[in-house]
Amino acid sequence: MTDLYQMQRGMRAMRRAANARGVIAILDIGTSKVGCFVLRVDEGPETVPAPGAANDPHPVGPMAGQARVRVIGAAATRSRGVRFGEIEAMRDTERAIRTAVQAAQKMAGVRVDHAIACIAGGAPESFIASGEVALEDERCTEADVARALAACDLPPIAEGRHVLHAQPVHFALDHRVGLRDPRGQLGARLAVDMHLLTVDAAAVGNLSRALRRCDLELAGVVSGAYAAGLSALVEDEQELGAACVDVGGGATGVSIFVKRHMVHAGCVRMGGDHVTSDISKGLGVPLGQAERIKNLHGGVQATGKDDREMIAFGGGTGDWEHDARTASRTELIGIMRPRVEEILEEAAGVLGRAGFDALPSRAIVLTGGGSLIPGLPELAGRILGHPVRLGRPLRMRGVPQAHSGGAYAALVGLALFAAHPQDEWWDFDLPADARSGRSLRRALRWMRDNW
Amino acid sequence: MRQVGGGDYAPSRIAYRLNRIWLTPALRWLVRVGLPLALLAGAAALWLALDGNAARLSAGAADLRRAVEDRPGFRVGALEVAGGPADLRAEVEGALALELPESSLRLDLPALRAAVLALPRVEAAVLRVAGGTLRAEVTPRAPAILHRDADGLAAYDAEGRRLMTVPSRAARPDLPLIAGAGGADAIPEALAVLDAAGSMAPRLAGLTRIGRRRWDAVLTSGQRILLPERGAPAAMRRAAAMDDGRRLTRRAVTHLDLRLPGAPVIRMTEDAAAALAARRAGIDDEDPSAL
Repeated sequence: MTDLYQMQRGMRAMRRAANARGVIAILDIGTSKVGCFVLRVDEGPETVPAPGAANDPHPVGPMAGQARVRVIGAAATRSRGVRFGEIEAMRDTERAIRTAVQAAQKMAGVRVDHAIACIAGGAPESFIASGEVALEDERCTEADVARALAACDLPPIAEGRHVLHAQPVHFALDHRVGLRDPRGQLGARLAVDMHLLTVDAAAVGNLSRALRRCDLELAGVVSGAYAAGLSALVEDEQELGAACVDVGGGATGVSIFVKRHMVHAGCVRMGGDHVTSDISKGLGVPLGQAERIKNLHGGVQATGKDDREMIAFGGGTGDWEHDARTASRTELIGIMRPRVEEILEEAAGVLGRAGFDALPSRAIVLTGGGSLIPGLPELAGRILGHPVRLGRPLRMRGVPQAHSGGAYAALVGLALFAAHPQDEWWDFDLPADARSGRSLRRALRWMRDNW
Repeated sequence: MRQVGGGDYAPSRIAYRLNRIWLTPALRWLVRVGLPLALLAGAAALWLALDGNAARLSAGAADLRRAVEDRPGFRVGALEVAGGPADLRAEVEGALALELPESSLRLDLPALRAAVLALPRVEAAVLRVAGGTLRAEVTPRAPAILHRDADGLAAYDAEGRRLMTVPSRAARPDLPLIAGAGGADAIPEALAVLDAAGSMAPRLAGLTRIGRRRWDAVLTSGQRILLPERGAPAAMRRAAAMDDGRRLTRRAVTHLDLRLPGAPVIRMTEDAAAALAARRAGIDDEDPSAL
């Protein structure tokens, strides 16, 4: 556990260094594309003057910390060597990262040395851990929060798993529950609920290695589902409870937000690439052509008109009969729909296991590249059983139009995270007693070694 | 694990690293600004180092400068001095020592003005070039006093600056006269004393510096008033008052000694002194109140 603590703290320190330098890269290494933003972090006061003040440089207010961040470089390229959101062929992935980073750097006109990346796969697993301590003073302090977090009974984390997020999501002081921040409040006992998200350690290690081979320092790893939720969910949805289903290329991330905290995250190891491969198999066309057919003609709701809409495709084999075929759009929908239904059913399973039906508001937001299939919201509403809307990422300063679609939700969410990271467990100092005991032991060992 | 040949569109590791190095701000500045500047400076230095180039360059620059200076628009053909008597104007022209015509760009007006101001008789000077004429407006210093010593007669202004020699006292009968070694160093005091003379002023022949430290006032009748080292003007005022009241200088007195404050002493002519002594001898027997 302390290793994890050290590694996360190291990444946080790296992020501070990047903020001090003012330039940081955001990398979304997905299954179908690698996206890269270069962020310029303005040095300025953390506290922005009140909106409407005469000297206010940002008349719209702090905007959740976004006002200090601007995207100065953006690029996306076809991803290679990634499956199910995990790196499968390191050298190919490296090439894709180099392509994206170089293009973004060229647009920004400055080099970046630090990168925050998100990981979509790695079989994320959510846990809620709870802890309770008696306050030392009658007023709750940051040290009390740290002790309460340390007192959490950790769930069984399997060997080879890595804690990606450990966010305190709920505080209670005595009988008052649902506090967002207990610091400075009166009470006797502090209880805290912490959301832990673990992923496959190998997946994170591979990601870190790939970035290092591109001369980038890893300044943070964020769950892809979390990042997509940050940017695709609007404020009231985050507050009242909503799920974000990020239909990506090789993995579909599901994150549940309530009270502005992520309380659950899951992943379905299926995505748009599987739809493409189904089309490729069903129609007997190359993958590239299948992707093109999916993007241009795809859909999940067949109508009578679709019987008459013929799609021409071929195989490039030289055989005229083989290369000049047609299929109706109904046939295409017949290929795509079962796979899309399967993805949505799996996502519904994730939501059901997480107890999504118990939330006060049960909005579902579909985002990601796969959500752009025409007719998907209707189908998703029927399968997930709740109102569904399509989510586009929040607008950010400097994001090009080409990178503001649903497929870039995770990337924009990462940028938001970089601008305004949430407090995690490792941001609170270790309880003092643990540290003093350790230093005493170290002192004793030093005495033994030297005399 | 298919090995991709040279046709891959992704930048190679080397290309990627070079690109990143090139995007380093300091290096970018060095190559895009620093290096061209250094090259230009180096080329210029090399060219100048080749023999004759530097001299030719400076000669060319000097030629160009002369060509501009010699344009008729900058020509100054006449000198006009205004203010003061004719001899002062001639003196100013001599001090300017100009060879006209001359280009106004080559005239160093501050230096010329300093040369004019260096003349003792010039109080202020304004030099300006307008319409091909150098015009010098001179304000002369007014002589306030004449001083005679072993070198002759000279005029001084009120601050004690020597202005010019004067051939004879008759040339400037309007100025008061002082004499004696060291008198020129105490001209403000002398003027104050003369100012304090009041009703005695018409009969005052002048002042004489005694021992470089104090003044004697000499009347036209040859009588002397010995003034103290300090407070000479006040003493002079007192002498004038005594003269007004007692008509002291109209009597047989040769010296009025005011050097001791509160104890004026007079020296009489020998005849008067003898007469007084004779009278005293008689009066001692008779009536003392008749004196």
